Amino acid sequence: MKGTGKGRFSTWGPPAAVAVLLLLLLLAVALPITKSGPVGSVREITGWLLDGEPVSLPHTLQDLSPRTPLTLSARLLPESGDYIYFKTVYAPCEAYLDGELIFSYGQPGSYPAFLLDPPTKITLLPLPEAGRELTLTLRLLSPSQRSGLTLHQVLTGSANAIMERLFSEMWFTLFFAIILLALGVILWLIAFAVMRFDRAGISFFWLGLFSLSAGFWSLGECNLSGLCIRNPPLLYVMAFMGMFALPIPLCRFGMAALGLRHWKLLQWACRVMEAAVAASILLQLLGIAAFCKTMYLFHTLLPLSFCVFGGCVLWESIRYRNAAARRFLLPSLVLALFSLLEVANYYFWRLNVQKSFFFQLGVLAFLVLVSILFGFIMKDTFRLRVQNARLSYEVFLMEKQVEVQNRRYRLLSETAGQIRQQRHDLRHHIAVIRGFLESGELRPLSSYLDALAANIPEEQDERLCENEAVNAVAVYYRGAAHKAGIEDCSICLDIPEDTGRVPPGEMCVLIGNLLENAVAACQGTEKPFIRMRSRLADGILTVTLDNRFLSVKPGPDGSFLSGKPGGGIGLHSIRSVAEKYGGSARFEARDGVFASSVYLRLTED
Amino acid sequence: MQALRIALCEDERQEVQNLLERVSACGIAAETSVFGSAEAFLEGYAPGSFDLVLMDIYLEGLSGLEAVRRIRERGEKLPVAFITTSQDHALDAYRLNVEKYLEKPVSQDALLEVLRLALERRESRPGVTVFSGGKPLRLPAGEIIYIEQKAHYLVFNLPGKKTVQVKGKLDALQPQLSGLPFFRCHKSFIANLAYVTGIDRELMLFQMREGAQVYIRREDLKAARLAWEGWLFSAARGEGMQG
Repeated sequence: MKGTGKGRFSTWGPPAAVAVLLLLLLLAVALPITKSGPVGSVREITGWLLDGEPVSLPHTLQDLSPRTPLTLSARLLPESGDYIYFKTVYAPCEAYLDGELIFSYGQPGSYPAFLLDPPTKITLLPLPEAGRELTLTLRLLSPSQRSGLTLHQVLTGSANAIMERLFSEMWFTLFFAIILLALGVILWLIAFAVMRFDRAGISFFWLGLFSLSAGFWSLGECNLSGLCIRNPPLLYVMAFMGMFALPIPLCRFGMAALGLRHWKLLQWACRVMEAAVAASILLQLLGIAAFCKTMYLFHTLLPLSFCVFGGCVLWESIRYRNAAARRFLLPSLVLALFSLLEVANYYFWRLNVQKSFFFQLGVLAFLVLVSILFGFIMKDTFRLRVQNARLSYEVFLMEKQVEVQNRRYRLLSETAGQIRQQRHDLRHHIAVIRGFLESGELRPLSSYLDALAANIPEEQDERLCENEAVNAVAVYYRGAAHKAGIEDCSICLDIPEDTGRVPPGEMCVLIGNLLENAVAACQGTEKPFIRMRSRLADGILTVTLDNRFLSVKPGPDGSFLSGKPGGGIGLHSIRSVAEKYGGSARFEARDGVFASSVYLRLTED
Repeated sequence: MQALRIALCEDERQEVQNLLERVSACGIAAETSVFGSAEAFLEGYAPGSFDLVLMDIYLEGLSGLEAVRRIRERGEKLPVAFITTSQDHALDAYRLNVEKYLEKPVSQDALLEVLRLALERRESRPGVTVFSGGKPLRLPAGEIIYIEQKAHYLVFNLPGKKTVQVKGKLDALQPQLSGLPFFRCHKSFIANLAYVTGIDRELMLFQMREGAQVYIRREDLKAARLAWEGWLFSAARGEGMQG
């Protein structure tokens, strides 16, 4: 088919490009960032007092009852054009400068009530140039959904310097988010392109959704996006929904793409996750429990479902030697491992790295590996499609064989009747001849004999090949050629009944495909002809077919794609049968004649 | 002169006896192999192994007509004469390029004519002429499996493990082989593609009939495969040189 070559290219291209990009990114991350110390004139504000007690930020408070008022204060000397940067997590906050209110966030009514706590807010506030030391006071109320509260660092400096500092800390998360989102969109485009001709494209859709979920999660978590997208509730929902829903597309992908025997387990994992996500949304909407509270449940569910996924893939690849599962084994295990590392870090190690750093690495590695595997998936899909086409073609040919056999049977019974008739007639003819002889009428005898000779029935048996099955196929296509107005159709095949190791079905597919292409190519040409020959020697069967043709263009890989849809698959099928049995196929077009030549070995070497 | 190699395919003992006597009475050097059935003949038949086939049409099992049709379909063009009691199959015989119709009982004159024709045909077949001890020796192309250069000698390997050794060089011989299905696959080898049964890519050689093996230069592997496949295809199309 025409689109095949192009389709193959377009499905190989983007994933390969993305894989290269991701590899570059991974390399860039692996290289240590040499910048250290404060960038530009960013200063951390120090000398904080928390309700009168000295404290250094960041500082985490535990066991707070809901809405506990907290007051943080520090002295600072703003320079011209200075800003302060601070972050409040689920805590309503007011900022005062020398007792004057300069900022207020998270007061009841300023955010949707069902969110219960104001979503994380990142703020960049200009400071007035006072020329003297000022007192900065932050009045916070602890969240209602959590007993813990982290007081983040407060930075001051020029807006550019602060942005630069944030960027140097967060660029990885931001780029990671953007690349994941872009990859998700590309995967969806591929999915829709592939799904138009193959349902297997659905696996790209799920993979794309997985990428998008991870992307939204990262984007929602990133402080930089908080400065660009000034809609804290949106980021809040994006981050949590992206995180909560992550295992669902992964499990769906596993069910769709890997051909697992025990896909029920993944289906259950999927259902549990869907129910959990639905419940968390319901709890949030009803104002019973916020995402930031139900999140702890997902901290268990996420690694668990990744481990279930990895375990399923591992089991299938070992127990059933599932080829697809084997390919996905490495990425799946990497994903499970990194999700476990992330949890370990969150609860136990508390290494000084960005939140969800391990997880991001895991997802990145997973997607890079999967992108590389894409080519293989597409190749599998294509092969499967060719196989299916061949199978349905085999069934079609078998129907034709049955038709030809039925016709032969009818002919046989008709002939039996004719022979009875002829035997009866013979007695009559002998009597007539004897009559002529006895009366000496030689002239009328001669004309009588001429008439008899002219009426000798012609042989009606259709025999183009000794092999019954192939004969039936050849007879069918010769009929099709005659119907299509191709009078010059000469088929002379020397294929024995016993075709050795080549099953009759495949032999029929080979001969049928050759003739199918020839009949199709001949149509609409001047002086159409089809000439099929074969030779069997030393266990090697050679079949050649020459036909007039109208439009056969060489494909990008040197193969011929005939103008008719399915022709490409036909030639592909011929070649694959030939190569399967130790031979090959050659297709040449010159001077309006298309020459197909195939050979294969009927016996093992 | 080499003896004329005749395949006689006949199931009546008396007729076999008669024919053998008449063949020797012709005064032409001949070796006759007798087959009792078409199946036995097809089994014992290899391209180039006979110069003439005398074939009875009505045989037990496979008919003589069918046997000839099969060897014709392989592109073999050796002379065939049908032995028969009637001319019923004259049309079929014509279609199969059968040289002659010998009616039973076969007469001496008719047989002599057929043998002479076969001799003529053998001499006019494509082949190479080499000089062995100063005397010209004609080797039909269809009977050379491969030619090997051994020091100053050319060794022609013929069916039945026979060899003919003459002084000479492959380079000097090659022009005589142009237009014939021969392929120079190695410094010291020329193979007859009609005898190739496969290519061993790892060991880099042509597998030939009768278990022979001919080396292929590494650089020529692809060309060798293409040449052989090309020969297979043209033979199937009926354009092939006779084997």
